Amino acid sequence: MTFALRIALLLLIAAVLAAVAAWRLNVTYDLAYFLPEPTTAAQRILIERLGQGPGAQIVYVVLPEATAIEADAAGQRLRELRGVRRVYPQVEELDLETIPAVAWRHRFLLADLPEDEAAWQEILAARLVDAGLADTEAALDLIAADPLLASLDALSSFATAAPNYEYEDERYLLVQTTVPAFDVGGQTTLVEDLRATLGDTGFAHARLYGIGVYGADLQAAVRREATVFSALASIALAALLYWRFRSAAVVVAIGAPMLAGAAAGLCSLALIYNQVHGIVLAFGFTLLGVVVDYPLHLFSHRSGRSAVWRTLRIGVGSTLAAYGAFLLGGSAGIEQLGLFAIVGIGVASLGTAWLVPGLASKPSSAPPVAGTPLRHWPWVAVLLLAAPFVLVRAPFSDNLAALTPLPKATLAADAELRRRMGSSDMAHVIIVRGADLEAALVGTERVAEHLDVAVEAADLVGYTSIAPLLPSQARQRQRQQALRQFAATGATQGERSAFAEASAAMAFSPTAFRPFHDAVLAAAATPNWLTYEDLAAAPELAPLATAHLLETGDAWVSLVFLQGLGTNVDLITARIATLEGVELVDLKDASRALMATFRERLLTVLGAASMVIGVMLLLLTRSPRRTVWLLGTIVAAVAVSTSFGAWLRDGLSLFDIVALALVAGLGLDYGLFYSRAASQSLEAADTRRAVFICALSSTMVFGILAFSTTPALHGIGATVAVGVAAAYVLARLGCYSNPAS
Amino acid sequence: MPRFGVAVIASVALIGTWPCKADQEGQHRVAALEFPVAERVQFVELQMNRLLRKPAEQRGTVWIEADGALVMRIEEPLVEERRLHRGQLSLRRLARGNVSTDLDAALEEAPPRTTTLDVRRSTHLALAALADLLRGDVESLSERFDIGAVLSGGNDQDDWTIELVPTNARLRRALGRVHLHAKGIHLVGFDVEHNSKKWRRMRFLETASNAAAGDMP
Repeated sequence: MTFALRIALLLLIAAVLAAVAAWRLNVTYDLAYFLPEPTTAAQRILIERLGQGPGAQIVYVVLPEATAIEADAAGQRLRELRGVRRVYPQVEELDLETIPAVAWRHRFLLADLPEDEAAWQEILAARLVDAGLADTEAALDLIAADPLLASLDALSSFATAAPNYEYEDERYLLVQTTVPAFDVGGQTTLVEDLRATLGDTGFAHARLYGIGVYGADLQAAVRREATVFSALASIALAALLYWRFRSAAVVVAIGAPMLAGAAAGLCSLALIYNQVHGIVLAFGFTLLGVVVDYPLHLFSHRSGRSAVWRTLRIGVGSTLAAYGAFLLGGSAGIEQLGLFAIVGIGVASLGTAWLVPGLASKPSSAPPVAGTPLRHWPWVAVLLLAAPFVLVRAPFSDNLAALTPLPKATLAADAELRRRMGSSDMAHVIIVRGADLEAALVGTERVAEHLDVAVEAADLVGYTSIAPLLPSQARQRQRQQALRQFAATGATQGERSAFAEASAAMAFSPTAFRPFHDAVLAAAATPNWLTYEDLAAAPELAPLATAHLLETGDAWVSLVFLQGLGTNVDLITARIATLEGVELVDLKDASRALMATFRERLLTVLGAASMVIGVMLLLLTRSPRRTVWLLGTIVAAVAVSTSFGAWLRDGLSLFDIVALALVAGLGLDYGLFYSRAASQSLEAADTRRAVFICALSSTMVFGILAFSTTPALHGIGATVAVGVAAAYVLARLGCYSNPAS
Repeated sequence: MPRFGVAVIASVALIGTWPCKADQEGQHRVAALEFPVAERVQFVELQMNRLLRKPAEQRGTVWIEADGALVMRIEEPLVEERRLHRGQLSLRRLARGNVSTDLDAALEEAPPRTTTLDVRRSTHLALAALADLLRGDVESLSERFDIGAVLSGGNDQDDWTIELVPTNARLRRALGRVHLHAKGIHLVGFDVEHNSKKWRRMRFLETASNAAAGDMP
């Protein structure tokens, strides 16, 4: 088979694998993929609820230089869009049509009936004032049928409206959507519609914020940047290779194994996982950059390719061992990354072996040029210089926000907007655990009683829990019993009825509440309990139910979200201290602990992999001195890159740790080739040139990636570019030039 | 339709929009109204709707803040504050059982419900008109209402009444009658009457101290 045919066949296989991957691949941007298995209840909540809290389906719209009338007109147009549930601020309507049927049907189970005439008078006074501000007949109908406004009150406790909708010359709209935050496709469509509609209403410069917007924008940005940087890197790499080999066929042949490896990696992910994280794809391709070195080394050597291949095999084996550690990394995202890299590198190395002829030939009979003498002082000196930088300042950032691919400016703008609108930061949550749903609901009701006192004492601005919308069965039975008694006393019209007395005192007509009266009698006669399933089946209420309640295998957890907690964490903790199964969780602390645990685990696994690689190197090279030199050179290069990241980029994230593994893999290759004993001086010269081109191409490609505006990609690019350059210089300085060359 | 007929209809319509002397008199009187902007003025309001057997009374205080916001605080039968500022309406209601005597502080702590002021709704339009009147913003009032003729009161010192007609056609039908009452240059109150079973009458007690709720026209 000719060389050209082999290349064509390899590319064809890559195309088939890529087609299979494209057919099956589902991409997600859920950050939880990069978080480990939780070990505490707080961590479990953090991971399972990430991006799914009450604010996850909110889009904040900032209208610069807008008047109230213009903002209202824009809000009106946005309300007509598919996927928009509500736009705040909105005119409050006392209208039955705004109440979900299930909440209306069970309204008498959602509120306590007033106990005496004074309490009824207070309720009816409120309705009197409500009627004064509601001018539709539907509002009066609603008051007549439910003077308690039980269902409306239960729903309004979840209202996402913020206190402020203007700041200086900006006006804000708060769009509540029906699209789940994790549905990136749906969010993308909705965000496009929102932007187009705002453009039509004269707000082409409106700014959008929110989890869904970030997901949609992030997908577009990652796709755009991946395309741009891949194209730039590919062009630069192709130009460099063409400059080196002066042959388009060789350039294609060097790229073909990488394409085959990437396609195989994608295919494996698509076949094994239902969803693959976008960062795995972006990052995975960069990790695979190492495989370009394989054919590059081989084509750079005019002789002794079988010996080069043997050296490469050591590099491939070590790299696979390092990336194999990712399979034990403890998070789906890291596992996916490991699988992609292992399959990709494996297929690319096999493709290289198949593509380049003459690898199976026996080693040259010529005696090797004198074994390359190695110097240890460069890596020792660099390690000693870098160590203080690494040790003085903790090199790793345990901030969960560091994992987010969002630009810091966006995060800062988001925080500022929430501050201006007076929205809660949702940094704290109360977890109520129960053996079953009923226990969790009873616990939530007890917490609510304590928090009501806290709100009254101004220790807290407010809170949301599922309690108003889904009372425990025990409370529902109490209310049903009270309803029966109310009906037995004649409901709204009996002689002994406190309601009738209060109604008369408040100037209401005796027949005004006839619809309420009839509904009470019907509900008292036939109990109709409200269940979690009822809420889950109602499209309007299901998001609220799932945001506040979750089943964790052997238990149910109810979440209570706090607003305006400020510095009163200890006060609230003290208030709920006596409640069993109740815990106030600081989500930031939980995330830091989670990230620290994850980092320790990943470093431990990578450390173990390094030891395995060390033993492998010792066995394969049969030279303790060379093995120490190789490991020392790699460690020094990693230390340089680590200190660079720690001091210039506010600490290294988990992605940077993975990037350091790539630095180690590439550094090992350079070291292996520089330290190997070539059989001829010509071969030694070829080796030096090949390593130089490999290092130059890697530094160039990752240097380009460092210009990405996506923090994760920028971090990876900078870490690898610095590390690879350091590894090359250290390897080059660490071995004496062979005089024969 | 014959061209002549179209011309007649158009002429009649135009005549209807031509400002007559009476309209100008109304504009002049409204423009001359004074309201003690810096003070809190007590009011009493009667409302009637089909759920009530007799008019229900609400009492409270109203004032204009330094930033131009209208604050209407109902104190009986319960405490609710409506704050209208830059097209947004914020409502704060004291929680049941709150017996605080310092209403300013208690209301400040109550969580607000903010809604857009929707002048397509008659109740919101009435609030906006009240804000315009108390601020003396005749231009804004004229955008919402055509200021009609003086219905009673011969000279500037008498009690006089004027009709406000919403510029919005739908509201014109929904609102029925809107009457503004004054005594000389002092605003006394205004009425919104949808029909005989649905109306609201508001009186400012400091400028009409003898106008107890029962004495309302």
